[in-house]
Amino acid sequence: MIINVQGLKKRYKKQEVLKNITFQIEEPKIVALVGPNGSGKTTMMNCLMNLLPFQEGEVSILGKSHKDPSLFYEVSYLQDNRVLYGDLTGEDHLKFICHVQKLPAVKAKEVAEYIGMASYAKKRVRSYSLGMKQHLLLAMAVLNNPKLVLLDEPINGLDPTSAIHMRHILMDLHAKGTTVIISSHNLEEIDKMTNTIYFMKDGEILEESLTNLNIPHYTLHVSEPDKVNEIFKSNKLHVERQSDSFTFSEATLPLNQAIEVLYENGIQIHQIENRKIGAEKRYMELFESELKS
Amino acid sequence: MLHLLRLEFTKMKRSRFTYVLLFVLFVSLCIYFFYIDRKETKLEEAEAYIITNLESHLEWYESAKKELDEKDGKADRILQNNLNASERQYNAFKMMHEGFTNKNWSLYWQGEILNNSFWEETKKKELEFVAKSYTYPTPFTIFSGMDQMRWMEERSIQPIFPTGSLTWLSLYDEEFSEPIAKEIALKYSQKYSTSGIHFIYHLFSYGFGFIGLMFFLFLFSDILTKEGFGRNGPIQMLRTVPIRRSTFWFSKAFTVIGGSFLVICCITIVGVTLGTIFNRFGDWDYPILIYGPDRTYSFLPIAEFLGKSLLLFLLVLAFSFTLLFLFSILTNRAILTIGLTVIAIIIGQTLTDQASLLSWVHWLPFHYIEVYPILSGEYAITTDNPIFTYQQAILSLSLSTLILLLITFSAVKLRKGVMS
Repeated sequence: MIINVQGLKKRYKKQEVLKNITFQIEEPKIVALVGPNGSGKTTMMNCLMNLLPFQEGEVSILGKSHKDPSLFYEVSYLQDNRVLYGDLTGEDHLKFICHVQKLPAVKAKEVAEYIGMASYAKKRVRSYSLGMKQHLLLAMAVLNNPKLVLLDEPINGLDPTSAIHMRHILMDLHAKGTTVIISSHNLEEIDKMTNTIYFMKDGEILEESLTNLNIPHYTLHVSEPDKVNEIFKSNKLHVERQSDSFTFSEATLPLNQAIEVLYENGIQIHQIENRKIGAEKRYMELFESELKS
Repeated sequence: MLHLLRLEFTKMKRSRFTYVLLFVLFVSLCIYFFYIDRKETKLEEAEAYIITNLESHLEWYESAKKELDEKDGKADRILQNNLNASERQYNAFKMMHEGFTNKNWSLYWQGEILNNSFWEETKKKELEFVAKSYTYPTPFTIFSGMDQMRWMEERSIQPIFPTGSLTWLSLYDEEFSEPIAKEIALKYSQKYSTSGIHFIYHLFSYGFGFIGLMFFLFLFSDILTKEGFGRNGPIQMLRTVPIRRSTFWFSKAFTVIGGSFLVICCITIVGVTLGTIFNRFGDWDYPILIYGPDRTYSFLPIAEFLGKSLLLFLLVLAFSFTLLFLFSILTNRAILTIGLTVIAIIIGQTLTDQASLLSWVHWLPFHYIEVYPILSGEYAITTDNPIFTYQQAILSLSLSTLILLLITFSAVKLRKGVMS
């Protein structure tokens, strides 16, 4: 078990900011936390990393208590860039992590090159752009080859090149067996990275493990919609009708089967639309009321 | 903990403010050395003074002898006394001159003791009539001065000029026959020397006090105020590395106190080196007068005095840094934290001075910020409160620091999520 969270509740005075959060991650994967500002993403991460105390619930990470400092030999947390020392250089930060993690100092140089920050590693952090700071934080987070890495909005504010670069690094990490928990508002990047998304709202996880998000959905535009409707019904195939088109998921009706059935009945297909539901669509559905307001 | 110490050192190394402060310190140290050098009575001046006196006393002696001879051996008590006194003083300056020329300082002090012995006799008689005199020079001043000379004679310590009875002044010397007498006493009792040991003694008279405290507070304030307690500052990063929280706090404490100690050691080395290059090393066992209760006194070798002062000053620093840390937790703002700490120390000192006679006031740590007067016993004398001792200072500062630490960590606990 990589992470096990049971009944996590966190209150600030009387306001409950995390409401009975429960989830488990059993195998290495990329998990995205998505939700509007104030939904509790950062608070939850801080609670998991023992940066914030919580009133109820239990958290264990890699089989250890979340309060065990030795956990950080195997776990990394990329936070807000304000945690960096402005007067120190990127190299100073990396060397410090190397010392603390009992890693050879040469590892700092290797990781700086891997992340693509070697050219400015010797400059003071104060002079870094937002992207450079994010890269440094990422370098610090991956130095120890962690089994679990949590990233709090690492893509926000990055230019497209940096965002793509960061995505590749995270996917590379995942490919090597690291579990990545990432919070972000960049739904397009999230879509490209993972199909496991925890949607959070008002301190709750509304949906989790939405692996079907990335399953293709098709819309068929046909010549005789009424007849097609009858054909699908008689074959007990589940589709949704919208006037002259029919929508279905690959999970419930493979596209080949649908085409075959219609072909056998002499139906002409004008157009096939292939699309994913995607994080954005689901987000819009879940947070419709907020979007409208 | 070594990792954190290294990090703190790197932070200081990368801070321009550190270099500015250290540069200011070095320049101040050099300027002060120059100042002491200008004030110091040089060996040539001292020698000229001895020779002038030697010649004068020889002249007086010969004149007194001649006068007595002219009386044709008839007994004249006054003339005889004059002759004896002149002879004694002539012999005294002769010994001093010989001692000075041959760098035989024991002999020099024997001469000086002989030269001033009549003061001792006079003051012994005065004590029979007035137990607690305040008229300059008081018996306390003379006796302590004579004993100081005996101490130096025994150990063959090179004098810091000027020497002699008129170069002593104690806290009990309050009444002067003439204003000019006070001026002279004040002028000659301030003994300056650029020899290594004495120079750092002069230097730390300021260093181990409010000025030094401010310097160290500014030098190390970043360590306690720039972690962003209560905000998403670097403290949050340090909390996500495999380090125990207690180690983190110990490293902070060790850095500020250990760092201060190191800086003091460096200042000492620079000061002693400057002194040794331009003058001489100095004497470790030069006597420093320590006031006791009821007009008693003792002496401490200057090295021991400096060592004890350093210990007390480190406690002052520990207390002040704890205060700074508390304000840092409460305010979360670096500038505000330093400002509040300085204000608290100034107000604390002002208030304790006003309330120095209250029965519990010796527990207030602000009394002990100026270290030299505490260790020398001068503070106890000037405040007329014998409880302000060195031991009491150590006790009060240690206890206050512990209490402040308790309050600070309680504040941390109350502000959950800051770093508990």
